[in-house]
Amino acid sequence: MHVDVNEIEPYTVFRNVHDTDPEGRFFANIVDDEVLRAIDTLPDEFRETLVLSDVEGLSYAEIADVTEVPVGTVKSRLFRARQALQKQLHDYAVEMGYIKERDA
Amino acid sequence: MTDEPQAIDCLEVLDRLYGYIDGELTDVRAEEVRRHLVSCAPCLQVSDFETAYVRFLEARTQAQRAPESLRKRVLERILFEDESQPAS
Repeated sequence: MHVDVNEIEPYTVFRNVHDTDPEGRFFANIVDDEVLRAIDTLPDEFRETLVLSDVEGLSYAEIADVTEVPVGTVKSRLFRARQALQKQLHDYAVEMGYIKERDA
Repeated sequence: MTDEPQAIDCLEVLDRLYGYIDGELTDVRAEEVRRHLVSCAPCLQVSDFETAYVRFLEARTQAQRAPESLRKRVLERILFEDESQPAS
C-alpha cells in the first residue's frame, strides 16, 4: 500500500485529536513494527528524507548533500513525509481502538 | 534585512514549526517562533503535539539506526565521495 503525500492536509491529525488527546498520548500505544511498516508505505524520496532525518539524525544540510536536492526541498519533503506518516499512525490507532475517531 | 526578531503570524509559525523543533532555525527566527508561542495558546498546542510526535518517531526508530561507527563510514563515503568514483 502506498500513500499519496500530496493529499495530506497539514496538521489534520492534530485538528482531529486536539480536544481528546492534545498531547498525542495515543502515539505511545503504537508498536515499533507498525511505525516501520508505515514508514515503508511512503514514496521513496519521502521515506529517504524521513529516515535520514528521524532515524539517522542528519541535519537538513546533510540530507540535502546526500540526496542532492536543495535544502528547501528537504524541508518540504520532510514536512509532507511526517504529516503523511502521522495520518497513517493515527488511522492505525483509531482502527486498534487506541483513540476514538472524532465525530464528523 | 534586520536581525531583530519581528512579530510573525500563526501561518508563519506553522510553516517554521518542524524547523523550530529540529533546531534548524537561526537564533532570530527561532526567537520569533518562541515569542509567538508564548502568547498564542492554539499554536503552542500544535507545537507541543508535533514535538511529542517527532520525539516519538526518533525514539521508536532508534533500534533501526546503524551502529555509530558504520554510520560514520557510510556517511563519509557519501558526503566526501571521490569524484572519479561513480555514485551508486
